[in-house]
Amino acid sequence: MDNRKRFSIQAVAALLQNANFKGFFSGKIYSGPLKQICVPGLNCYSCPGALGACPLGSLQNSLSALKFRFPYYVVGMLLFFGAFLGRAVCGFLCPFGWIQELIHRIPFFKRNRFRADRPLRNIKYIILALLVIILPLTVKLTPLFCKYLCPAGTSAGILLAVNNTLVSSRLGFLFTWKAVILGIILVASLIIWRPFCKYLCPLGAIYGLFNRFSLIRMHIDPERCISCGSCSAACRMNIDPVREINHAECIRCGDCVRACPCSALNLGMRQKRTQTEISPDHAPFDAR
Amino acid sequence: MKTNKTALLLMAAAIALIVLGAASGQQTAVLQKASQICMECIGLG
Repeated sequence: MDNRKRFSIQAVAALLQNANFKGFFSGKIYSGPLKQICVPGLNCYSCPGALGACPLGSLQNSLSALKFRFPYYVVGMLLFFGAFLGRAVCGFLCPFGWIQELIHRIPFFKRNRFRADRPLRNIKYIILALLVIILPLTVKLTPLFCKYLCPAGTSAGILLAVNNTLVSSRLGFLFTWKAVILGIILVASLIIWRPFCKYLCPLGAIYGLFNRFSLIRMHIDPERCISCGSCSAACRMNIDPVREINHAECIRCGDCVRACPCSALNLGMRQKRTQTEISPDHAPFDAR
Repeated sequence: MKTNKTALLLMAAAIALIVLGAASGQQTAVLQKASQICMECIGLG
């Protein structure tokens, strides 16, 4: 799949998940029956356009409820998206991931590979464990990740504040804190490819756990692979698809598939075995 | 070429969990929260 197709899917997914267009002008959110269904990506349910529920917000609310009941419904939704797509959700369906990619297209100083990159990625697992699971279980009625960190919620707040005077009149320290975080993420997106997805997103951390088992996943044909390194040079999540196929960081964007001169990689339910020979004209992918 | 049975098994388990949750009314709690402006989420505390 070429990158333009993926871009189109991302745009359509973002639009479908935020199709309550009149909300952007009225400053009111949609409250119909679709809101009981969780969307796959990070999309705040308080966004004026949102038609569905954010899976992370729903999970935190279930865990921080006064009377604890295991959240079968939300966990089931997360398990379904994870087992079906893994982090292809991040690469194809997440509106906030798409926004970061759009910002990264702006010509600016780019630096995607640096020493701290790998250790920084562990932060999202700490956020998942602490802010999404452990603390909401102990601090009741407080979705801590949403409250202190989630940039999608801040974006929703900004969009709501434009046409909702009740919201705009109550903006205070917490909003400023979240706006600073959102600003840092957006500026970092100019330089680094999808920094929030790499370092902070607990939803990506959950889906990453399913990458090895998901129905839609990466496949490599070892007989075709010539270990040229084109795929790892092309990977903007900085993994080596040959050594770490279906690594938890892989968002299935397909850069490696397009870069491979031997068609050894494919994304899908099954390994694709093509009969075509390697094109002698196919130059290795130009490393970013 | 084998289909990934683990994924199919996990998806079946996911559907079972969703049905179990829906049967006990958990989708109503999701709807209740999602249909009101979440003050924490938008930064109003």
